[in-house]
Amino acid sequence: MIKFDSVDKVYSNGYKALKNINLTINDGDFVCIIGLSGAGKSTLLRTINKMHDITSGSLVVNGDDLSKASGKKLRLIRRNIGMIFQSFNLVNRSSVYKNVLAGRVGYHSTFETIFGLYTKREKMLALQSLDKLGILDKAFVRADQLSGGQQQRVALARALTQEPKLILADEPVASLDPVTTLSVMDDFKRINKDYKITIVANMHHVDLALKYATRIVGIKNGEIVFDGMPEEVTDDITTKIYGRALKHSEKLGDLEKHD
Amino acid sequence: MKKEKNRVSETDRLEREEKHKNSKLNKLLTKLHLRGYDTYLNAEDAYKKRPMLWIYDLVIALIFVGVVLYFALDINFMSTVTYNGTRLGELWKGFINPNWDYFFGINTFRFSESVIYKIIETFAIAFIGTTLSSLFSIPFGFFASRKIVGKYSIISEFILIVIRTFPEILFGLILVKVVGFGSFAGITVLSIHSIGMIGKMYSEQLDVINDQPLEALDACGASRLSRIKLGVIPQVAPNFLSVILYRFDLNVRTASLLGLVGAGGIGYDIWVNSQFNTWSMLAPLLYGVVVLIILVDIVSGLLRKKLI
Amino acid sequence: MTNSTFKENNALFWHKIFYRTVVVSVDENNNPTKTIEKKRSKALLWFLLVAVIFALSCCFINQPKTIRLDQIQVIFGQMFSPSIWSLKTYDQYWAYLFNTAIPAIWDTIEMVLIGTTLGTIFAFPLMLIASSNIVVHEYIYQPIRFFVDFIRTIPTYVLAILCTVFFGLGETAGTWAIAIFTLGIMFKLMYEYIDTCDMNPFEASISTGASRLKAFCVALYPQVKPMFFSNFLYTFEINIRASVILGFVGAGGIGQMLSNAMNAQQYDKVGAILIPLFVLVVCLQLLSGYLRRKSL
Repeated sequence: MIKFDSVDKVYSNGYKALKNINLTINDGDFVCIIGLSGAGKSTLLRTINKMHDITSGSLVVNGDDLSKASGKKLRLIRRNIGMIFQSFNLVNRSSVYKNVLAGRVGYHSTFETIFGLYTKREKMLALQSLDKLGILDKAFVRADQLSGGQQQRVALARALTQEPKLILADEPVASLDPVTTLSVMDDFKRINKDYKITIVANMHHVDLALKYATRIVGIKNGEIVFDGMPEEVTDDITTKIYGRALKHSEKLGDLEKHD
Repeated sequence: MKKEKNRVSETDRLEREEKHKNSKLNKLLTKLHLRGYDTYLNAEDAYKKRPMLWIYDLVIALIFVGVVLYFALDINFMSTVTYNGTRLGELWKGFINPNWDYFFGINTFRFSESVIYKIIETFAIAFIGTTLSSLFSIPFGFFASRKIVGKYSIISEFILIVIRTFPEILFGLILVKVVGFGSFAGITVLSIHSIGMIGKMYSEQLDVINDQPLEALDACGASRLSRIKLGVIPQVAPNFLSVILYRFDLNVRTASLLGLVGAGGIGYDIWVNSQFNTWSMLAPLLYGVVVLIILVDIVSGLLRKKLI
Repeated sequence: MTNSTFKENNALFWHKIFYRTVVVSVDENNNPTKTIEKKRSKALLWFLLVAVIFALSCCFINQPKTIRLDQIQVIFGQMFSPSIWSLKTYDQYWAYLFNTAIPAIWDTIEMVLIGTTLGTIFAFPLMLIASSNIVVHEYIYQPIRFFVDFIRTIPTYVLAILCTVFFGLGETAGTWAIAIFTLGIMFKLMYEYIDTCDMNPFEASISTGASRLKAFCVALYPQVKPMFFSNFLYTFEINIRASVILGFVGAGGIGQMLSNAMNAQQYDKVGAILIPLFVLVVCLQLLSGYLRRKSL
């Protein structure tokens, strides 16, 4: 469970990225954060695993107070949180298998990491994660020889191999074509339901967020302007978040017709 | 014309890939767990069939470590028998207390014997050598570039390689025998050696120029000379200058090196003083050299930044 | 009054040097209606500067008293043609080549390999600390960069001489001189490369809970590895060429033999040493160039 309590983030040049965030995310939620670019979505997401610091307020993730966490303790916390990036962030020259195993690095010493000594259970776990996402055939191929959707799935397998309680996704489908977007979002949904992993994702396609999320959080100028169920999001609310009504051409469309 | 020859149809390429995949060597490697399979049934299957690619790295590492250990037994690089602490102490004393008269050429030293004079002389050797060689290596560079002269570039390339790999010190010794001691020998050696280096870098730059402006110039009917003047030179001029400045940087060091064999500059005094263990005379020389190199580094770095 | 016009004239004078007016359009009587100011190319100024420094430098050069061109023929003739040899027969020449020259070169290769490896081993942790991508705090990586850059400004032969002072004459000094030299080169080449690496997988590794060192091993090392080995080979080649210099100052290697042979005016021996050396260096250059192109 993630609990934000009057959280502020102010940069050293005075710019207020987050203002007075009060938010509680329960276990098993699929939360989508929507808002304009630069409104603070990425910042909010990255404060959850302390990639960015907060300047005031308290943030408790799964029982750990993040403001006191640093060094080794922070690494132990981050082990249980998986993160998916917009540009996949894979090691291009390594094989898919090695990329997925890299998720377990937090459980080993530096010596074991240098020589790649992972346990048999972890190796099976990595291969099973790949299998669950349907890309087991590509397990030993170089990571940059895969298509975009497959690379994002590899990143998702890496996150799954951590056996996390929480997965953070920073615009995971922004670089993908429309058809692949839907299959990757389906994978997210399946992971959320079957393995009971909380997912917090930044989206900039509102209709995708509305279709897949169990909860929607809208951010504008660093403040939360909406927090509720997808059904409650009306055109008024999207106008408030984005500053104007969304035209039909800006929606993804054809969401019902996909395999 | 050339492009049409190389165009292979897509199906031919796929067929070749398939044959390559099923070749005997690849099948053997796959069985030996050195290459991945095409499909796996499930996770256990994939685990059993996983390729152990770390063997390649391990073999190379073992060979390398073996060779290094074998060599290490031959060379004694940890010999503390000749370690000489007292000499080091004297060295340190000399460095703290350098002979400033020698540095500035006052009192007992004439100016033409001072460290400052020698440093300027070294700089002069490097400057003259670099300018001369940058001019003379233009034809060599042009003729060594495959794009400009085609197959015949190999003649000039070979000449440049020979000039380049001839050790400068040896060349310096030879030239000292020919033209006598002093900086003239140094200039000659530096110029000729630099032609090798600068010529090669010129030819590398010329090999990667953009063909499109040249095609455009051909299309509007430019003569060969105009083509070079308007198409080639504007593209490569800043790079050439950058190469020259970089080489000047290195040539200052080489110029001081040539002094070792008597070709002028500061190397000779460093050699003599280190042989006679006169550390307080060696110290100002070393300080001078380091200051010179740092200054040249800074100036050449600034100028190169301006070029980019 | 006169002061201000003097300054105006002065400014006008400088302006005329650096700018020239270009007439863009004229009316019927050829009077210019529109002009633009174009900056003059500074190339002429730079050229003048270079010429001036050139002329000044020539004052410091001494004139050669006698030029003995016949020496060239003597030296190179002896090196490459069997007419005037100090080793009397063909057999002795080949014996010298294979019994003395080539083993000496092999010894040099051994010394250079050990020196390069030592230098690389010491450079490896330093390059990690010095890259601004991995260690973010400026006050850590700037001093290290400065310190090693300073060591790099000391010329090779000076390092070699200092090493002979410390270790005495012989191979030990040469090996350590090469090690220090290699440290400088590998350090600079590698930290500059690491700074340009793609940091995305590194960030991803940190987010999974790895320390910075572990994240480097997993995410950055695969990118760095090809460049690392090609730089190693490049440095090895530079060091082989530098070993000639080391020998001259007495730090071991074939330079010593070359210097002795030159002083004794036995140029055929010089030639016998130079030929395998030449072959070695050219092969290394080709190999290093090929690997550099393949890894990029």
